[in-house]
Parts: sequence; structure tokens; C-alpha cells
Amino acid sequence: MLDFIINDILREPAIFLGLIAFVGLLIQKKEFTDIISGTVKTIVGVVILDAGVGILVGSILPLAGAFGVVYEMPAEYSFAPEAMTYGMDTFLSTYGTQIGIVMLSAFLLNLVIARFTKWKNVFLTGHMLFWFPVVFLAVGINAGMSGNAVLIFAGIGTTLYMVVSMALIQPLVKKVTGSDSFTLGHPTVGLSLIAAYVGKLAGDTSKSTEDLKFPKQFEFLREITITSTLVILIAYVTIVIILTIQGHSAAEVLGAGNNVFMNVFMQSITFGAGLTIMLQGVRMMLAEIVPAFKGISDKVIPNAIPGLDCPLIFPYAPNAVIIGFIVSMVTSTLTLIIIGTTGAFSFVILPLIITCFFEIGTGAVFANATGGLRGAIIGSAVAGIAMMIFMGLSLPFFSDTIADWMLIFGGNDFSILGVLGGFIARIFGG
Amino acid sequence: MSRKLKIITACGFGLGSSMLLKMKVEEVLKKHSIDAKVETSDVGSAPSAACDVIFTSYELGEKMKSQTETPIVMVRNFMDTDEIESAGLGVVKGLLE
Repeated sequence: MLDFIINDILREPAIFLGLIAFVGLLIQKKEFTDIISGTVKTIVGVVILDAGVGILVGSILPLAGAFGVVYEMPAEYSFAPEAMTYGMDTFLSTYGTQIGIVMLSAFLLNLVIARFTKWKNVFLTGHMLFWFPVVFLAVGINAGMSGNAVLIFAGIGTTLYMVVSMALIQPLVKKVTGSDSFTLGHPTVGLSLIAAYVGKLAGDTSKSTEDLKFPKQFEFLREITITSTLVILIAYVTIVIILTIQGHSAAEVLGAGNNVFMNVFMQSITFGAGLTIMLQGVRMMLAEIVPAFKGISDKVIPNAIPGLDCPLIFPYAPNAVIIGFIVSMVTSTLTLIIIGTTGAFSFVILPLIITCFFEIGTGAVFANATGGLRGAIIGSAVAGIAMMIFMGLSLPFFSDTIADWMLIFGGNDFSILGVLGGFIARIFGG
Repeated sequence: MSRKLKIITACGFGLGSSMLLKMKVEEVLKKHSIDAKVETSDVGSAPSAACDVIFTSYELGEKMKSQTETPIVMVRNFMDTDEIESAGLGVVKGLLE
């Protein structure tokens, strides 16, 4: 019986996360009906998340493959599914239970540290509490670790990252918001520090981004699901043109059938659909777990400073966010082209729309505080270049696990941790 | 008065900030003993979602205004329950009457 529970029920990731939600709902003393619906919703969310990731990644892999052809890279460097052991969707459905264990233990360790040391920050950005364990587990498993070793590696890695990153970014949050009421719990820290530091060196605080009267036409960019769909479409169309100029058959390279343009158009729409489905899955999966975590934190450490999602900083300089996004999109795309043509990195890299918006948009808010409008522009420009370099350096550490997903969401602290964690994991993984 | 309201909190991705806003809105509702269901959503989906009122930021609220008939409450600081209370409580109470 016990054997059945441990080996069959708890090995099923969806059930394990459902169980965490179930306990969370019990702790919150919810009514019977809420407990049942919350638990089932969490389980459904995990399944939706996995399906969404599959659709999302599937829609960009032909693009990655085409980049590989254009830059004459071997097939395994463009993350063809058959060349990878896992891919993110398989990784999630294989290691979901481990992800749940690491997530829970890293959060509890964070609480212990906040309770007994001077670092009072508690990481409460729900989806990031999920993705950091994924990244650390992927790095460890990619390096050949397994079993308890990889759990310990990911648990300690996630905890250390959370404590250090929240402390590192807190002075900047204070500078922008004028208070110590929160810090960020988000993989923007590396890029934000770069943007803020460069902004300080190169900037001029006499003119702020918020002095600008920003044209309303740019407001649509804030709907990032749509913006990223459009950028992916532009990338597809560009690659079709380049393939054709180079004398390849775009239809053949992309596996597109007769009408290449309709095919890439639908691939881009599928990207938007996959992203929306993935987000809905994450939302359902965490709807009950995050309030439970917050409830525990409030009880155990009443004076904790929460580490929260980066858009909380956006209202302090909404123009800076858009400027950071546009500037870093430009510099990172130029970097992408230079990297591709010089062969500096041996792996395919794609435009990183989401990272440019959330991570560097946040960085631009900080850079505006340290160096005004000029600081925001130069800081984001440099952060855009750094993002691509981080991305290129980190991909080898995810090549067998979640590189396909990193192509969309990396370039931020996930990538920095990929490199740092990867070196450490290789020592232990043999 | 017995009708249960459905409230949506929205942010760019509908994951982190909206979740925080949801918890803060729930705090305010609890304080005033208002029974409502609060869910999170993203800026693209929220305007078409079936709900009684949407809570979001100024930037996203301005964007959504033209896309929906649902009343939108805009909040500058998602952490500030006082601001949420002064901006939103009147709207919520109005819906219950």
C-alpha cells in the first residue's frame, strides 16, 4: 500500500502538486467545497501547463531549426526534439514531483533563514518559485546528477539564489519606491544590476524617462502575449526570406508544405496560443499554493519583506519599461545577428521578447533612477547585449533538458544560474 | 444582497502581480465582510472574461477600457490596501445594491 502511494501516486507530478495545494487549503481553513475545487484545479493546471509548453515550444522549433540551417550549425545545436533527451514538456512530466519537492523545501528553507538571520526577505513570486527549481534540476540532470544528489543540489541552489538575489536588488527597489515594503523575487536581478550600474556611469539624472510625453501608439506593446506573437512572426518571415536568398527551400527547411507564408503565420499564432495556455496552466496550478505560502509566511515571520513580481515596480516609471523593451530588442537582435554570422556561439539563439519586456523593462526603471533618461537608454542597450551573451553561454548546460524552453524565457538569471550551477553540477555529476 | 460577485485582478501575464493584487483585494473584502470570488487573469483575456469588476494598474486599465463594458478599478500600488479600498470599495458596494 505504502509502496503504491510512494511509487505510483506521488510520482505523478500533477497529483503531488495537487497534494501541496490540498494541504495549503487545509491550513487556510477553507470550506469543503473550496478544498475540493482548489485541489482539482491545481491538478488540471499542471496538465494544462504541460500541454501549453508542448504547443509553445513546438511552434518555435522550426524557427530554431531554420536558424541552424542559415548559420550552418549541426542539427543537434538547434534543439531538434529528436536530438534532446527531454525537452521542457517531457522534463516537466518526468520530474514534476522533484520540482514540487524542491519548491516546497526551498520555500521552507527561505522561511528558516528569514526567521533566524538578518535577511528578512521571503520569496513570494509564485511562478518563479516553480521555475527556479525547474532550472536547477535541469542543470543538475543535464550534468549527469540524479536521485537525492540532484534534489539537494537544486534545493540549496534555489534557496541560495532566492536569498542572495532578493538582498542584492533591495537597495534599488528602495531607491525607486522610497520604502522597504518589498523587494523583487524575479530573475531580472542580474540584468537589472547591469542596467542600473551602466545607467549610473553613463547617465544624467536631470531628465527622467517620465518627463517624456510618450505616444499612445506604443501602449499596445504592454500586451506582451500579442507583442511576442508579432515578433516571432517577423522572425519567421525574415528567416524565410534569408533561406530563399541563400537558395534553400524554405518550405522544406521549415517542414511547411505548400504555402510557406500561411504556415509561418499559423506557427506564430500557435506561439501566442501556446503561451496563453501555458500561462493559464501556471495560473491554475498556483492559484491555491501561493496564498497558502503567503499565509504561512505571515504567520511565521510577521516582519518579513516579501520578494514580489517585477511588474510591481512598473508604475514608478511606466515610460522606462517601454523604452527598456524597445532599446533592448534592438541591441539584442543586432547582437544575435553578429553572434550568428561570426559563429561566436555554437548554439541557435532566438529573439528574447519576454525577457526584454519584463527583465530589462524592470532594469530600465532602475537605470532611470540611477541615470535618468540617458541612463535608461544606455543601461537597457547594454543589458540587451549581455542578455544574449548569457543566453549563448548557458545553452550548453541545458542542451539535453530544457534548452527549447530557455530559447524563449532565458537570457536572465536562469541563464546566469545555468552557467554557475552547471560548473558546480559538473564537479558533482562526474 | 446575496449575489456572489466575481472579481478579476489583471496584470501583463496574469501570474505574479495580479496574484498579489488578488490577495490584497481579498483582504479588503474580508474586512468589509463582502463575499466575492476573486480570480487572476492577463491583460489580453480579462476584458472578455465574465466578471463584475476588474482590478488592475493604470497602464493596463487605460488599455482595457475600450475593450470592455465591465467596470475597471485602477490601482497604482498593488501593495497598498488603503488605495485599493478607496479606489474600489465604492464600486464593489455599488454593484451589490
